[in-house]
Amino acid sequence: MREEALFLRHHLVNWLFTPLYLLFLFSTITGYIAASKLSNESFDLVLIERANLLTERYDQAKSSGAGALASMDLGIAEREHFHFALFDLQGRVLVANAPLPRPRPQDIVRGVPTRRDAYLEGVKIRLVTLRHSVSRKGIDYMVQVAEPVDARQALGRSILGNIVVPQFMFIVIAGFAVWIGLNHGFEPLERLRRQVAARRQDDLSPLDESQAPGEVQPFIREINRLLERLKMAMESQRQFVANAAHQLRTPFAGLVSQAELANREDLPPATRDALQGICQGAKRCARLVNQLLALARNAPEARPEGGPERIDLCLLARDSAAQWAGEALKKDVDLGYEGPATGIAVEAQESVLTDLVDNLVDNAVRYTPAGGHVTVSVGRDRAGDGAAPWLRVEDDGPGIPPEMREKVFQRFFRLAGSAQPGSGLGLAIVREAAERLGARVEVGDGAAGRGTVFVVRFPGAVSQ
Amino acid sequence: MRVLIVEDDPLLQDSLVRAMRAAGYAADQATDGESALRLMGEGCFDLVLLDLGLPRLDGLAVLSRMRAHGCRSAVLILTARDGVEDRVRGLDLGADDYLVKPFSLAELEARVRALLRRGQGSGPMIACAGLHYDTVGRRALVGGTALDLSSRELSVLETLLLRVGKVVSKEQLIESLCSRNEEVSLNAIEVYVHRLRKKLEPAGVAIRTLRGLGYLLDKRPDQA
Repeated sequence: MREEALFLRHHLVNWLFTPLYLLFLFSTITGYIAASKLSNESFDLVLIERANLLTERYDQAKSSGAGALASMDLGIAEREHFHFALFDLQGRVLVANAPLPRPRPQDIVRGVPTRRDAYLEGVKIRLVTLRHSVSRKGIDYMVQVAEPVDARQALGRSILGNIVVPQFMFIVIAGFAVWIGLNHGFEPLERLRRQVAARRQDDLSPLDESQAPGEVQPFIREINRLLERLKMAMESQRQFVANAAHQLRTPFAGLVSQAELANREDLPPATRDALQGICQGAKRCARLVNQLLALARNAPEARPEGGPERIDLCLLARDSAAQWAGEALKKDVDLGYEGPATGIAVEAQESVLTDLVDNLVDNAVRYTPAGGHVTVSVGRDRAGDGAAPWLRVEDDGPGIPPEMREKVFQRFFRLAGSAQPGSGLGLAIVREAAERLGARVEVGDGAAGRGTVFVVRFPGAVSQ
Repeated sequence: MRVLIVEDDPLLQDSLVRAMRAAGYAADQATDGESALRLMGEGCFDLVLLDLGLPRLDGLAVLSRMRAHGCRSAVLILTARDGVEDRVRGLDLGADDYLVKPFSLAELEARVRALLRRGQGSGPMIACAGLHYDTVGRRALVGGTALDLSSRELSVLETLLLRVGKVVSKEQLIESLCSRNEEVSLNAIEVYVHRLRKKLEPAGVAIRTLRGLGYLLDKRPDQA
């Protein structure tokens, strides 16, 4: 869901920003070219104007005598790097303040000033050449004026700056606006995502369609239909499991009772043993059915019966342990409970918690040999109502090798060499029930390095 | 004593009928809910063994209807469902006890005896190994002679005997004594149990201690 949203967003950003950037680049370049052309033009005009002014002065000075001619230019020339040179049509210098290049043959055309870039002592200059025609009897001469190009370059840079900075600001603002717009546009999707993410795993109620944007509503309708079908499938599975329980347990009950009745007759020992075997086999099958059902109840995909409620863990642990007391005494296993009599509560579905504790105690009693001890205890990490509760089941039986401690939670896994009849499902039920309750199961060595201890740590913050 | 067996599985029904007749009760049978209600309308039963998953009319429906009609027979539910909800609902509707299938006949017979005793308002005798307990006269007899027990010791013994083979917590024992409006401490219970143990030694029964859980009265393992 989230990745898809990002993907869409990237798509939109790419499609909006790429043209925007290209447009920015294009308008900057064309703007710069146009502006520098215009500024060059105006600089050139000023230069031509000066050339004309120069010819006027030269003509005046020439008519008033050679002395004036020698000093006439300085007033203009010394200011602001203004270079000039006057040539006769043969290319001889008449008067000059800088060693400007000679006019080219193509420059010697009447009336039209030519402009070009040139170098003067390594400095780039703009050079204007024009032919001055003397109206009356005089001789035409060539005028060349030049100035360094740095002033125009400075102007060009300033124009570029004046174009680029606002354009860039425009891009940034537009980008910001687009980003805000996108976020705003995606907000309903994001809200939907949060809604789905915050759901409990077994919550299959339909999503709220009215909150979503129009384009997404068809998707949500389809998802809701899927959820509906899933819910029905789960419900029918649950029904199936419940019915299977009934259908399987009743024949077993019949089988057990018939065998027990038959065994009350006076029978030869071999027949008696056979009937006993039938009884035990039927009971084992019935237990297997129970465990498969418990597993189906606690599987992550199953829906629990009823919601969580506050359950006194101490009472439940004592009840569960008491159930196995007969079995333990028969085997000469010392079964006991340690911890407060009441008062440590957990939030849980009762059937799930019962499955968890029952299977842990059953497992411990089953695999602890005669003379052994099994202790169920309940407590909290530290004093105080908010502290996380735990339940321990400890035995001094044969123990579980460290490398097997993860495997014992797998369905149908049984430790090699265990003589006890068992389904290999008990601890799988424990694991799945714990996951359902948000609890953690740890396996370790029992006290003094003998046996096994299972610790179930429940989520905290449940106060009495 | 008349017992009605409502069970649709023929094999189980057959063994229930045989077991009840062997125990000396008159047993009638029904295989569905409607015929069960009809039979109950015709005559009074002391006890009904009621399966929950019945054809035509569900066991819980049978239960609620018979209670609505004022039938006061004791009801022992035989259920294949072990869901907590089912059990609670059954007891709420007026069942007296329940057994989850499959069960052993010995356990069924014990529950039936207990229920029929309760229905009579008095149980003449509870027996365990060599111990006989007279619930009316409140006397414990070993080999025909009455044991010398205080009234509190008798209460503790009675509570343990009513739940033979099952763990009885200290709280439950205190509760059974508290009807006398007296304060009883956990330590006092230990004292009573200690004395009872000594006095019960010749009877072949043992009161076992389960650490943190309570006590359990049973035949001594060396007794057949």
